[in-house]
Amino acid sequence: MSSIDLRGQIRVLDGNRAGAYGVLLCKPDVIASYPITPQTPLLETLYKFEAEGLFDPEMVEPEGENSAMGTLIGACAAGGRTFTATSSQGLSFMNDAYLLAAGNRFPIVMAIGMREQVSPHGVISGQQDAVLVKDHGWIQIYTESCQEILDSIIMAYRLAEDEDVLLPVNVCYEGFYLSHHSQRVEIPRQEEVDAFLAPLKGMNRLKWTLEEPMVFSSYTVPPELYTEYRYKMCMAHQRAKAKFDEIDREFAAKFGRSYGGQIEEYRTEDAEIIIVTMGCSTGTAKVVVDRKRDEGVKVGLVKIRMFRPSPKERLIKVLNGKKAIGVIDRNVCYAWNCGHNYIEIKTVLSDLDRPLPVLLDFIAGLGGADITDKHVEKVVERTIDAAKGKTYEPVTWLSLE
Amino acid sequence: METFFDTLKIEENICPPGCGVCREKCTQVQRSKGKNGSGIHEFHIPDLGVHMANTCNQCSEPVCLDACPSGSISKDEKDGIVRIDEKRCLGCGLCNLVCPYGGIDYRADEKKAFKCDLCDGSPECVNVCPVKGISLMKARSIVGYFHEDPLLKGSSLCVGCPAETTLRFVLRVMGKDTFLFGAPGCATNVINGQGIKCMINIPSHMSNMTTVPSTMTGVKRYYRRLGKDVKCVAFVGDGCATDVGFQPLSGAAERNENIIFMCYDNEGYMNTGIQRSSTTPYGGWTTTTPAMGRRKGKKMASKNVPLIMAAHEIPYVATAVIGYPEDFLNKLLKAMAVKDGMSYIHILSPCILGWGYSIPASLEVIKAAVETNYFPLWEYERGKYRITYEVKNPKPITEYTKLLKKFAHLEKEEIDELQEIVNRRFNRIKRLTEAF
Amino acid sequence: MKRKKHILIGAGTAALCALKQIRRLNREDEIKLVSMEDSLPYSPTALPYIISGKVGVSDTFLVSEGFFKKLKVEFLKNRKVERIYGENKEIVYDKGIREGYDSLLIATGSEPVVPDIPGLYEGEFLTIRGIKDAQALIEKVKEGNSAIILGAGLIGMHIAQCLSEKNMKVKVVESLPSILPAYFDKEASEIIRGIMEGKGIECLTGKKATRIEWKGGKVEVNLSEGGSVEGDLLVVAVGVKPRTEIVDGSGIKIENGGIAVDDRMRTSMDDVYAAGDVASAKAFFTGENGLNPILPNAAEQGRVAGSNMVGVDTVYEGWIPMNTFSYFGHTAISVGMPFSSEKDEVHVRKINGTDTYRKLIFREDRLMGVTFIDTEVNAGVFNYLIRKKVPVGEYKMSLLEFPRETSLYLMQQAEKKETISLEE
Repeated sequence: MSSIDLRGQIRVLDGNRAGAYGVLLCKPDVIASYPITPQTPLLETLYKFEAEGLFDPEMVEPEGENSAMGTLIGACAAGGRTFTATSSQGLSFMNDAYLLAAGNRFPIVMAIGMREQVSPHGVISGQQDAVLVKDHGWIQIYTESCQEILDSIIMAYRLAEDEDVLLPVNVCYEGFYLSHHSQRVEIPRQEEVDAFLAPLKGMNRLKWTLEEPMVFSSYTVPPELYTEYRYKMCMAHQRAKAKFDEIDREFAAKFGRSYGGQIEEYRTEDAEIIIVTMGCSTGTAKVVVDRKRDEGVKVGLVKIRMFRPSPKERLIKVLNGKKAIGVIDRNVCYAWNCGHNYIEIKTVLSDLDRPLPVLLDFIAGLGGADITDKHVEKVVERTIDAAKGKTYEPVTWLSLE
Repeated sequence: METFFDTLKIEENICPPGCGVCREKCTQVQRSKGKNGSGIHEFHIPDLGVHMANTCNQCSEPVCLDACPSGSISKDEKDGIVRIDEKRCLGCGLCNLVCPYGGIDYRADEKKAFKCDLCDGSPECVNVCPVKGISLMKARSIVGYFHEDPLLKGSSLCVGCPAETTLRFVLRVMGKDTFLFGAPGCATNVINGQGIKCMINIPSHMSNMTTVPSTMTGVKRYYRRLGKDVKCVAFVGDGCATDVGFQPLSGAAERNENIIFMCYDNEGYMNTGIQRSSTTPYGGWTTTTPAMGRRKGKKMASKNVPLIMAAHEIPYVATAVIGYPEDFLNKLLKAMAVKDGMSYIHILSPCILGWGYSIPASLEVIKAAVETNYFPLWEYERGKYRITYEVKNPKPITEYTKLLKKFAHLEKEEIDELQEIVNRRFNRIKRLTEAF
Repeated sequence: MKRKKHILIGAGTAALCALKQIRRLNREDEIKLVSMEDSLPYSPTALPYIISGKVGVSDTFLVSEGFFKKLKVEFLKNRKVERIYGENKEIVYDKGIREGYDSLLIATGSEPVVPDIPGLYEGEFLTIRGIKDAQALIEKVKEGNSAIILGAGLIGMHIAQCLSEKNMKVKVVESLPSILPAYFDKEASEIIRGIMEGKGIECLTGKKATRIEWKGGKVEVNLSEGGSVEGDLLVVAVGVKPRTEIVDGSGIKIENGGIAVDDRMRTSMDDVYAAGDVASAKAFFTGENGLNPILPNAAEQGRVAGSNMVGVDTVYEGWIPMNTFSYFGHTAISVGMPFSSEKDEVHVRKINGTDTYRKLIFREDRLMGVTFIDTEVNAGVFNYLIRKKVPVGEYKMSLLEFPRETSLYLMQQAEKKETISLEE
């Protein structure tokens, strides 16, 4: 057995390698790779697996990200399981094909090792690349830990290829903090993952074959048909939400690890204020929540896992009756001078019972900056103050203070 | 399935005045079979300078056969020859009366109809013609390779557009086990249909302009993993192949993907209303290289994409035109035979609207492009360059440019420059054929 | 797709051409050919040649038994269709049996016209339309005897020639002033008449048969303007008329004595088509419907009907009069309009000392009609030039001097254009 075959073992792995094991376990048919930091080691690891004979996909090395996605589109149309990963400008450059994949309802899984977008240039962590494409039709899952990257990739295939969904899925993890940071990772055994993915075998899916010729992506569809396609895609996104919760429960039963499905609710039950996070800063925030709890502060945390589609119903349920919400955003929306999750939560507010909770946004961790426990403490304190009636700035650029 | 047969082809107006060698030979051959007549006739009209010959076409659906009142005309199922059973022939003359092509003689004195029997397959007139003006068109050399046309009749391309003929030709040779790839452009509606309606009976995919070679890669690779060898063929315009989609094309070539990529080059963005592309020729008019005021069409020469593709050292690269179908067929067959890498075929496909010529002239334009060496027919096959159609006496470029309004504004200086580009490029290919 | 059933009534050229066309376009559909006669299909055009002894009956069958098997066609002989019920899409056979169809073709052809002449039915006269008629006539041929033929049309003149070649004395009675009046102008007609009379055939033109008297195995035909002719047998060949009794009571529209069809060969009843001699179809020159019972039209109309019967929309361009007549080593050909009108330009060429006669009718730069006697041409090429409206303006004289060469040249040029252009 190859020394790099760690299936069934518990090891210390960085996020890229953990992700690579997730891909290995799902046995894709076609993998296309184009390097870009910080996801590159993930794809490199897949090449090692292939070279060592751990699995046997077609490995394609296109000349750019757009062609990488194009390759997956072809393979996926024909019925194959596919994978690629990218980051930052790679994702921007892929945009042409990225949209095609979603519009054609191809269940492709792609990891995004998240990084800031130009300009200015910077090989630095962030979430801006992934959140920018939030309305391109893909499902997006954001992860907190190396283990969660691995597990989410497995769950992503279950979700993408489900006949009620058939949408492409991004598994997003922050560059360097997760991609290059090593943590304890349990690598499932192959049989376990095979069994977990087995239900997909019976799923209905149109395949592009010679035997039943059809045209993919026809031209100038009439408006009523175009609208129908859009409507059906929206409905698929809506179905994906509950489906993802189910998959998470099934995953927990099989592997003993649960992430809460669309969102993770951490000590929220009796909480009066909620901190909303997305991505790897959640770990730090949980430590602060625990600390504050010890001090008697009724604070809880909601981690957004499924950013797209919006986990609206789950959010309404968990945020109802809370006094204040502090959102930590590692990304910006220029138009509204805030982060993207702030907009998301604000949209949900209208569905909550009166009185509405106070909502604050904290932009932090841009450009590869750390989000420290001190930052999170500030967030908690200011949110408590706001809940108590103190006047506050709705949006705080925390790192600039 | 249609069946096709050999037929005689007689060159137009090249008979030497007064010559009747073909008829004499035919008469002699027929006499040896105990028959009196000739199946071929020369005709000279000196006043009009007409010196030609005529014979039976061996029609696929002969009207003479239907009009014979004694069932004495038949079309042989094996060799396709239309024959008259002399014993049954009434000598009524109806066949002569209905044949629109003058393929049957009626001899009142003998009360007999007479026609060419193609010497049962090896016509002797071919051998005796002093100017080699008669040839036996071997049907099987082209149509023998034809499969059922996967496209319905009619199309949404402009009337007379040679791209449709070219696509049909390609698909008929490729056969049904083909995945066809298109991109936004003129041929899109033909390849991908409109709305939920399509006119094609093979799997087809409409990609973006930038994703054709990669999508083909994905399909090909996935089927390869399943152990199935499928043909993946792209038919895209020059905008997709040589401009915005050139990077992925080059990438697929470098990876040597086993796909067949065809560019129908109409030298511009015709579907968007005639803008210049990288293959628009020097001096060529488009809406973005106007010929007015300070501008005289495109300032720079076209990108020589087939040569660039050959530089990728993929197994097979060729230029082709529908006006030389035998040549095109050979190239298609070679491309299809490649199993270890990529084939690229660059097709010159005139645009009636964008180049400015009248509808019936497409073939004339194509032929002039070849005969002037503007678009030489060559191939690159595993390291070897070869000119596949030698033009004996290349015509000056004006014989081509005069046919097209897009060159109408060119003056001597620009014509000379264009001629220079044509010469230079042809010599480069010529030297490559000598060097490799 | 569901297999359809096509029933074709009649077994002449029109039905056979329709049948072949249906098969060419559709390999699956059921085809049934119903013939009133008990022989394989044949063309009445061949009958004079049977009479002359040039060919035997079995050499004139248009197709063999194997043909139907190969094309998967059911061939019903000796069956008559009595009625058509369009609402039920059913036909009724002679024994009352009904059968449904998806599309129906009426190609029952034509039958001889028998004029109302006092005394005609008191004796045994002959008409020529079927094999039995030809055989009956052969029985009666006797060297040295004389025959009277009523009608100097193509059939009449052809029979005259046959009987003359059998050394019978032949007299042809024609009410119009010239022989072959429908296809040849006076001048051409006279040339042909000269040859015929040179062979001993007496042509009594401009004379009507007023009364027929039969006495002692002889027949005497009294003529208008006085006088009479006497003979041993009488052949009536004054013309043919569509055989339309099949549509009686069906409601299918009749016009000009034939079944009216549109330019898809559709009758007035849904899914019922007609083609050949029975149909009153569009004329090429006038666009008006009319009869033109000649074999080439039957073939073309059959093909058009066949296409439309399987749903391949095909338009009939209209019939053009044309005929060819061979007589004693001579040939007379007429294609297009045989007679000129005032707006036409007419060129005539005769060659001294021969029977050669050429007449070309032009309208502006289009060819409208040609007549050739003893001129070697490929007649169909003129049909092509007329039908395709090929402009011949500057070639008029050349067509007259070198008709064969010039017509071939013009055809080839037009074809070249046709091949290169996709239709405009």
